Amino acid sequence: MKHLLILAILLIIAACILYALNITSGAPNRIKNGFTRNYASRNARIITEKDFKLNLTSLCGMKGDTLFFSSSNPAKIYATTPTLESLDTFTINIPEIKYLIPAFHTTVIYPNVYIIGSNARMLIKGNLLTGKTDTIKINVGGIVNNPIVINGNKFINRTIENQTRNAIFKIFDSTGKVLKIDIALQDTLGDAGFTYDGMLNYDTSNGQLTYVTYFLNRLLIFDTTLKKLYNASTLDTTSSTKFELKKSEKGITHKSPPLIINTFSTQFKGYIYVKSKLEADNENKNFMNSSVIDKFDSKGNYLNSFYIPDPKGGRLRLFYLINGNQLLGLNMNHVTIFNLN
Amino acid sequence: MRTKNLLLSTICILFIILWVYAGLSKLMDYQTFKFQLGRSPYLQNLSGIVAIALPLAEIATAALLVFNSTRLLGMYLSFFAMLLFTGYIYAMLYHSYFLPCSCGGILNKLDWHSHFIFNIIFTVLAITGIILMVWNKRTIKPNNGNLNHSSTKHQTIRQF
Repeated sequence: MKHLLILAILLIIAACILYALNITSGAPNRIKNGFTRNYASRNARIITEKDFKLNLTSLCGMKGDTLFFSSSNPAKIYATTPTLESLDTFTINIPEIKYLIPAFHTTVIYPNVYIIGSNARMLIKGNLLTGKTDTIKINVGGIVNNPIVINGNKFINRTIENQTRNAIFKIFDSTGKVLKIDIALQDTLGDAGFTYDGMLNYDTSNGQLTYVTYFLNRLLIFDTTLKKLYNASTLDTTSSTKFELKKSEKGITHKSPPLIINTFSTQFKGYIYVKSKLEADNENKNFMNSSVIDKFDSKGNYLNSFYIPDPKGGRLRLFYLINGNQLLGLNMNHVTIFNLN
Repeated sequence: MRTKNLLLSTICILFIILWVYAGLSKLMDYQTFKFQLGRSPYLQNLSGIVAIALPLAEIATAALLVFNSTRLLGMYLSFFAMLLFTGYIYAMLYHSYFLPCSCGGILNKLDWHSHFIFNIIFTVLAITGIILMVWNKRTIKPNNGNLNHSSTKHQTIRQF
């Protein structure tokens, strides 16, 4: 009995310590964030979902009804349709490239596939039908961050430069040669791109690129010549970073835990969609078991917000508009199709 | 009885190895350990204290497990520490807004999920160790430390 009591006391003390650590952790949404949302009349509804038992990392292209997915293996591209009935596999021949995995970005412009290795600084051009590939060294002078394929001969990225450690938007071509550099799009902080780290998207319908920062409420819109079009902001009020960086000869990294506010963004037919982690002051109970998406127009003006319910596989990680009415959600191997209307 | 003693000895040895290894690796790479703790949302404000107190406590717990007289206390502390670590990793995995790299040493080969499983196993081992020690104490008491468990049963029957 005495020993059971000791075990119970230890259990209670451990629980109290963990609780104390939790309430002092500075987690988001413990206090009001100082902004409100306009909710759309309808939220996304699940139409169908499937667990493909594969680590699908992104929706990397669309052709008609066919949806292409990249996976943790750069040589494998998977394809399905919005009904998620079957999954086809395309295999391309990729030579062994140092540092290609895990930091690579795949884009399918059917039947071509473009794989850009951020750390490997390589462009792999392949054909899904033949499986043949060409490998080209990208000479941007640093890490090829946030690469976007504009077309088969034009690519945009946010290079983390080796020497200055600045993050600079650059255009390069299919030979890996830099065509244009623009240092005016973003402040250069020599911080390996951490402060304004974010996600770059390309909307083929209007030729606009959108850069949404992870840790700040910045929303930068520019065109394929790197000309700044709009400097907007996301809905929240986070205008300064809440983390410290550690700079050393080896590199730069976070010294304190960074608080991500905009976890994911995407563009579709002139609209920008941002998945926010911050709760609005007028948020409702949907926030607990859904992802809230803020919708902006092509100039960065806020329109409204809607919820995407959590699919079976857990919290939604990535989402993509696949047509005007449907949205695809991705959570590792779990794919979900949602209806928006 | 021999099997139980063997199991208990194995658990004690495993914990001694674990705590000595964990404590020393943290002390030897103190700056990295402190830096990693500073990146944890739960420990960022306590990284200085925890970075020094934790490895010392781990080595002290290993020392308590070495001696017969303090082994039960050492096992209770091991159980308590494993409860804390398991709860901490659970919180990091499922409730934390940032997940930094895991610890150093051999255990850095484990990801957070594997670490969670590892900690659960060691929590179960600690509680098994406590049960075996308490059981051993009880079986030894009636005849000044010379009886085994079956003898205790026999005595209990004779008393009736």
